[in-house]
Amino acid sequence: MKENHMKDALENIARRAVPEDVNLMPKIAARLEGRSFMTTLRARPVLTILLVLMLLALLTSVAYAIGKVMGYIPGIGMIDQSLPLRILAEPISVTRDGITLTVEQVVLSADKTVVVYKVEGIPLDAYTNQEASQGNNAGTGEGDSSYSFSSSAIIPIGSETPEVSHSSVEKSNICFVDDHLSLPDGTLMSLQTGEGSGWSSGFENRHVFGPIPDEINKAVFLVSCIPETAPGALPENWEIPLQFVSAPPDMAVLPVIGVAPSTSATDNYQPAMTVDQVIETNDGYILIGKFRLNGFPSNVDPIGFYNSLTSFIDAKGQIVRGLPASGIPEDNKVKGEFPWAYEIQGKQYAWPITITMDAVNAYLLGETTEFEFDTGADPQVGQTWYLKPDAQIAGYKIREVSIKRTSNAYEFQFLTDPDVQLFYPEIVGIPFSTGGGQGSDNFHRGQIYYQLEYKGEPPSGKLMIKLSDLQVLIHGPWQMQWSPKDSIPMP
Amino acid sequence: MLEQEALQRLKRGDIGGLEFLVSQYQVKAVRTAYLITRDPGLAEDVVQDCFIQVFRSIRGFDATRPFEPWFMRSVINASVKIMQKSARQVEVGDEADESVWAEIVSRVASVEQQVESAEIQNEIWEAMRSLSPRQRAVIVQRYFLEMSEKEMAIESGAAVGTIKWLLNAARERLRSMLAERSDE
Repeated sequence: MKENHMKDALENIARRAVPEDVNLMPKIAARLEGRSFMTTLRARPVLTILLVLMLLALLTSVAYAIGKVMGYIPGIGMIDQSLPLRILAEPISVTRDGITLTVEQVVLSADKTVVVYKVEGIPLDAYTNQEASQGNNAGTGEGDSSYSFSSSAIIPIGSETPEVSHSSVEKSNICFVDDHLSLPDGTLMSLQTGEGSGWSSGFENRHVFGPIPDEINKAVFLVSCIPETAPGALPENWEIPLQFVSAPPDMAVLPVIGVAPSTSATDNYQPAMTVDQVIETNDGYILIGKFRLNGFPSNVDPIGFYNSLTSFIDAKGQIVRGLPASGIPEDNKVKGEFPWAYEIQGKQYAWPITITMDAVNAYLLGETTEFEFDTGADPQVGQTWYLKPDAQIAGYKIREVSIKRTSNAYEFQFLTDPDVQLFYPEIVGIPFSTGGGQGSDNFHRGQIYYQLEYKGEPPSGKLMIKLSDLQVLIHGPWQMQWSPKDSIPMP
Repeated sequence: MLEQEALQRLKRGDIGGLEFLVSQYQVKAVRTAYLITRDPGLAEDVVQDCFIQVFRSIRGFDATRPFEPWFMRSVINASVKIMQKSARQVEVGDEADESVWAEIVSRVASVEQQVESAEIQNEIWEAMRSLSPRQRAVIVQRYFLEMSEKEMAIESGAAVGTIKWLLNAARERLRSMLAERSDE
């Protein structure tokens, strides 16, 4: 009875400070997306290809902040200017055992703290993932492999693509991105989001933390260990002292310009494709907008669009160069729409330009299908089955399936209708330990690979395969026009 | 979506699975962390970190086991750890006089009919300030999360004897206080 009273008291105390509507997911998602980007780039160059496809070639998922005095700093991103900006007094490098960590740039604004840092001198054998070594060996000396791909494929952010089965190191024994900022008052600030790029012996990250109070001009940048290397393989617990000073008055901060709402697009499906904000850079424009897929069934949730299926043409029919923009803060995705941001390179075009999205990628929520798979009484490691299931998912045909058995997994290869981008297979009623794969791309339309791993031997006998979480291409096209004259100052 | 389904989705890297778990446990987890850290913002940070850690380490989690105890243990541990690391730690250390614990429970017992009043809650809250993070965690585990002694010993990694001594001492104190009141 007394214990109940104590519980009630603690409940009431906690309820006063922590409301029922607390919502952590946006920040968690933002941080996971930052981690996924970074870790994949660093340690899995082969898979990096696929993730970069996602990040650079297809799903631009960005948004913007409203109601603040926003500005844009090249290399840093969009920041709130409602308080005076501060920067790192000077770059700082620390070298330990041949590994050099350099904090190159820090910008402190009212809404965030952005830390740009670089790590160099990482030996290949420090990585725990054998695939990483293989990939890096293949490209040794070729520099950054992250931004030179242009085809398309899908791997959802945060997905666990197949690990190399012969790797001797478990994922739990890999260092993850775990940066912090420590303030003099003892506050430990966690990473909120970030981006990065890697090369064979190093990487550079742009990591975003929360704002640091005005009166604090010192912090210590903490890096517990170098991501994707084996714990203990390289120096750990890096502590880089940072000193902040007022930003010089002539520091370049580009204004973020609101766009007249009349530029909304129209098309057959009546979606609202808009450019909502524009940043004029030295050599082009960054367009920030939204795409809403109206007029479709409620279970169609657009995710993003493909770079390879998006074009920019000027009034004379000339191609306008454009790339997905970085450094634009991500917003919560709202069902039925996605935010986007594109950087137009160059200003000498015949305006207006026409932006065309030929297709968008979308989830078809709630769609599943099942088909039977019989391994027989004595399945062997290495045995492969070829099936032609009479199965459809949301009307898309599953044409062929090959299933290979390994010592601890089944490897699935699906041939489907070309617009199917990805789905997840599972064996009904039998939990697996991990899974991963890759989706369709421009060169392998309708080809999906997925591997399910099990703690022991894979199941056998008459099994039921279930496919769910379907992603498909939804075809437009959708078009809109935009010209610099559409830009108006933000209120 | 069932928890099992969410865990399976999470195991294959689907953030939708994590979203379900966050929606299910975030309030309880943040409140738990708050009772230890005494800072709602820090509590949210702690729980965010724990969910991130779930995402990273879910492959090692046996999906046939209940998720909540496993997760709440990580929240408790992370809350204690961050308080021990930060300058916000109270001056009383983990080895502080454990009679403080008994004193808190006795305070509740002495006013058991009025414990819902804001004044008494404030007294409890203030009394808890004087405890170390680890001691606060013990209170939160026993009374807020309503864990058994056995569970507490297993989940906290503390010596079973320590947990038993703490709780028995508190109960003795309660009984003593109640006896005094009934004699009056």
